[in-house]
Amino acid sequence: MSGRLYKANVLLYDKETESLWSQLLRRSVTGPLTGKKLPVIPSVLVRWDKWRKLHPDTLVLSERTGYARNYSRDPYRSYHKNPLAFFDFPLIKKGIKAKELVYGVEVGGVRKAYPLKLLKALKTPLKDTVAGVEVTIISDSESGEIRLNGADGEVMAGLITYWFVWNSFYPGTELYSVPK
Amino acid sequence: MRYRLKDTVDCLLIVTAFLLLTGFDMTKHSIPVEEIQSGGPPKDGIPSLTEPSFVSAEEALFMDGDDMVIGLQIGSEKKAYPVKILNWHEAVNDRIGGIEVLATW
Repeated sequence: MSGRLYKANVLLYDKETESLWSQLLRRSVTGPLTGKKLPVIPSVLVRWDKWRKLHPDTLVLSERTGYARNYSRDPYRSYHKNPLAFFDFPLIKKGIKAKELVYGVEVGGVRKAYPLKLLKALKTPLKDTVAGVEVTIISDSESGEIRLNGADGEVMAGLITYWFVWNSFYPGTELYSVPK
Repeated sequence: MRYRLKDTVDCLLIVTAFLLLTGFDMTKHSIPVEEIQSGGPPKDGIPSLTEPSFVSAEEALFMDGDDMVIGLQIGSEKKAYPVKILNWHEAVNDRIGGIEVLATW
């Protein structure tokens, strides 16, 4: 890793050209490969027992990485618990904590964030309108899958990150709240 | 003359500091370079994994049920990347079904 951050989000580098790549933007932001994008492969964030149950033949990244690290210790424990953002970011929305995880989407040029714990608690698909487009968010608590479908059934990619990070990348973002 | 020398020294200090801080050639960029911050550890202070090894679910005794993983399926191949390992390496270069993938956290 480059040891650098952009808007509190890690920058990766490639060893061939030493270009920096923004994790959240999924593209190179400095160096010879600036502007180059990486396609996103859908993945899930899920508990190990649930993943294993659904995919008994899965392989798991081994803890024998060649590096001496105590993987049972979370190096970011205090960072997660600290209610303050890592850096001083202006937080314009209320009713959500800086380090609450959100599922961020982009539809028709409009960004919207959905609190992850709200999606995880869904019993039925969530219907919403973003940029005038009807979308459905399906959250399967067993598989961990979160999927965003457009009106015509097309699948769009979203990503999970801290609210303050999403908000600093996209200051004009909408934030979903339960209709009253 | 004194001021000129001071300016040169200041300029050299700034260039040196910039190179020490970045270590990357950012001549070409699409984001404001001054907004790039140090994350604490230096370059490769957090080492990404480039030759990852894998075990089966039965062999993964180091995993607890409530550990979170990034689960990825391409074709019939499935791989789980434990968050507790990704926390220390942040990126894993891998191949699944002949496709080069990067799992990053």
